[in-house]
Amino acid sequence: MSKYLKLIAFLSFTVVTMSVYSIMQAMAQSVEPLELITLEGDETYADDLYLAGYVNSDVNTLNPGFTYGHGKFNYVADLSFFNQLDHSLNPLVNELTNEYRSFLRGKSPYATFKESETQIVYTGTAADVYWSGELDNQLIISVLDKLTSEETSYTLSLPEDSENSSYLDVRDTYIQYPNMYFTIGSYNVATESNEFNIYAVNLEAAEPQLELIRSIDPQLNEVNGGDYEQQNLDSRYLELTSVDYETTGQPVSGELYIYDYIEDKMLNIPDLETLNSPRILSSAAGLFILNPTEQKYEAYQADTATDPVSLSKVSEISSSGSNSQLIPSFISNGLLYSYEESYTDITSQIGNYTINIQINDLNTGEVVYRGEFVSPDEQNNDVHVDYLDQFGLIE
Amino acid sequence: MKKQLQYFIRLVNFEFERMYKFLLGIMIILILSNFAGYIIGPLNYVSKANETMKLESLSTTQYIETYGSFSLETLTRSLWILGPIALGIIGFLFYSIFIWYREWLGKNTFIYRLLMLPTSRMHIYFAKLLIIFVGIFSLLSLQIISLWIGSFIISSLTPPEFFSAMTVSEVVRTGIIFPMILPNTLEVFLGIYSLGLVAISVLFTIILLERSYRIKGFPLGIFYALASIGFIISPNLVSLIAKNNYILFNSELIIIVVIFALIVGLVSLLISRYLLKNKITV
Repeated sequence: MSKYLKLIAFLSFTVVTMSVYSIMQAMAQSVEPLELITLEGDETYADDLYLAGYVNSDVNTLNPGFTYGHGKFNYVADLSFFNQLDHSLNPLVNELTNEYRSFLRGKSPYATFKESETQIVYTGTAADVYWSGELDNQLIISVLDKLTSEETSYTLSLPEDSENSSYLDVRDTYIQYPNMYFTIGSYNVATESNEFNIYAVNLEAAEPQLELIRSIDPQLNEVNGGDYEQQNLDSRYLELTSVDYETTGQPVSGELYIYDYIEDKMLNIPDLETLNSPRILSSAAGLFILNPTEQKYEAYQADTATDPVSLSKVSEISSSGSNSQLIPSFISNGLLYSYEESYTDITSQIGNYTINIQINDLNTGEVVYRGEFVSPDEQNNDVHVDYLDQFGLIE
Repeated sequence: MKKQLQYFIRLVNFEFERMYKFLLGIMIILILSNFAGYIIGPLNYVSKANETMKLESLSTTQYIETYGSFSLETLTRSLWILGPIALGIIGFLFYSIFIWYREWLGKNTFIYRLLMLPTSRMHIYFAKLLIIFVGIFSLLSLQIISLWIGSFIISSLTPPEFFSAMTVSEVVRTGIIFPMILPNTLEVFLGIYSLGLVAISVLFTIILLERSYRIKGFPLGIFYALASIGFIISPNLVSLIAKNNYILFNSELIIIVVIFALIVGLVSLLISRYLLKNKITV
């Protein structure tokens, strides 16, 4: 037995150390927990929220992802390894991964998905799924019937003169099934500028084809404020701006225009010229324009039935303080949902940045809910939401 | 069965006795290098911080905001920690080759005595394979202990205002090397070390091919290695062939790669068994 002493000693040392280490790893928190506490208003408003983003708890660690729904936080790091690999912060993509896996196969999880009671519609380009190869100008639409699990796919060629454009990009989508509207951006090599065209397709036509509805004035070279990700698939309105990148070296926004997909017209809103970088939001109740002023937004409702479109002031929406920036995100059932980026004076090494959630009654401006992301540990001031990727309501 | 097990344990012990000094050498280098880093690292940081704060008229808070604080994680990016890890990887790669070739060194080639033992020849193979992993995991365990001790040393040497406390669990989750050699999820740990096991098996097969067929055996071994690598990474070509990066889910791709790796491991074992039984003769 003595001749095995060294081997036993090394094996014992290894087994004990690795076992203790494994136990410590299993017990260690992979991510600092979060809470959404109510600072003001009725906490039940938070129950319907869906949020997803990243937590920052220390400068030396990666920012782990989280989702919030039904009043609970879930952390990506707590998922099983294989679930983490396929996880998306987009709840619809996760639903498709779990329940309609074959429909999601071959489709980019970063493209456009819209779900209704009976269908799920996917739109993307060929470049969305294979960006290393040639970028052919094809739009791919797939419709899943949730009742029968049948999938119908359409490959639509963009009728583009490709001499002067090198890449086509779906910048905005409006779905009113079976009609779909796309704002396609292309880069004109000759003029070195972005150009946008509006296309439509009726998926119930005998042979669905993309039809060019309108070519946008090349002066208008930016849509939706340059935001590539926050497509509101329920919004019939498209925001168009002219941005000057040349004169000062910094982008300078010019006039703002709004296009109505359904009416196929540029809305004539003279009062827009008096507003300074407004935010455009829409809901079932119509089109709303929020004009930022000092520490607040003036909310206007646009009467699109008239020409020119008139704006009538609805309310004023205030932020919580001088060190915060309120960002209105969407409107639902007469409520304006915003998130607020706040800067507080704390000595934490990770900085002094927090995100709050604010819900206002759009008609009165009253705050019905304000919540803040904090750590359950009152001693820990160093945990905050670093980036909010998804902000919506549970469907 | 019991007798076979006894022979196997004896073989493992025999191989361990032969590896012991090599392993101890690397362990001593690891300890010395790590501990030197735990002492020199914080002292250098503080000295540099004081110099910079003086030169640029910065307060402590301003210095930390600009240049960052000092933590165990800072040290894990230095050669004091990474050097011995690299030495260990290269050392065991070398030893995986040497563990076979040493049997043929000298006039009285020891391999014949091993092959004459009243035990399955695959026990020789598995004993050598096992001992490589005993060595690797012993080194890993020592590194964990070293990091744990190091966290106390650097916390006592670094002024509190400059120090950012991190547990060993947090440290091994950052950077590139530690998440690979000490992954914090069981599935990744098993996956990485299974791939390592397959890699060593393929290496052993190459060596046995060379020892069996000599000059012809070496290119055969290289071809086998390239074919194995190609087979294991072939699932990644599915997206290239289908011209679709999402034809397989990430989880499916990983599972297929692991299955293919296990197939390669099994084939390596079978080839090695055939060579040991039929080609390397007494």
